[in-house]
Amino acid sequence: MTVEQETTWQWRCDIEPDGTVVTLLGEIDMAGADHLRDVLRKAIAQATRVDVDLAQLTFIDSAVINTLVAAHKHAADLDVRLTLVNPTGHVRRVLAVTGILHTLGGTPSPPDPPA
Amino acid sequence: MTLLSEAIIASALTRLRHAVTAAAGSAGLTDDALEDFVLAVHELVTNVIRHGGGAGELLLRQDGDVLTCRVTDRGPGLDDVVVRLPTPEEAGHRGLWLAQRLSGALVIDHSPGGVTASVTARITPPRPTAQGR
Repeated sequence: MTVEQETTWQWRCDIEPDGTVVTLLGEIDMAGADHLRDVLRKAIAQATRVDVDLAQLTFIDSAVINTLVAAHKHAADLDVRLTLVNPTGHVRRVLAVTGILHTLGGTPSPPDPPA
Repeated sequence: MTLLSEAIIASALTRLRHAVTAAAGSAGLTDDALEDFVLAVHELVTNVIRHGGGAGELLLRQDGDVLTCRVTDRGPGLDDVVVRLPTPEEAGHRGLWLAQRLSGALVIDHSPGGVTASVTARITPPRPTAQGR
């Protein structure tokens, strides 16, 4: 497990036998998009399946959406499945309104996720 | 009434967003409406940093129950402003689409000196039945 501190966001990478979970926490905007791209590329290079857990992410902008779309394409080119899981609140609405959730999201979250 | 008047520079992106959140929140914008307005403003500020010469000004005003945020840059201007949603597979160019989708109105003015983009939001009074926050 690796933990890294950013100014407005953090990420955690859990490498498990059946895939890697990248957990994003906080607010990511244009300023963090390049670093996010590197984090996702590293995870994609080391696994056949990458779940990006958004449960604790509270803000994304269009630059971050672009990064997620590009990472998904990069993963697909390498036969890696990258899925966005557990988006909530505003992050979920922004992903839904842009059609990203439909394409990059996995199975719907349970109706009553634990708080 | 001016709520906020700030210079836009790349290093202030997050601070500006938090300042707009605080000012619009104090003015009475809440929940989804507040988050949508803040993201719309953030996308306009991002545009200034990326395409508008990297510097500009942000002005947040309240007129009655209407909040208006005006973002001005001194960049070369946009020849063709295309505000459309790319397919989920495409990278790029969702910023202005998000700004107009999430705000009451997106208005873009070109002048020889630069570009001014404005977004608005209407403050709705809390319903009597709404829970206190």
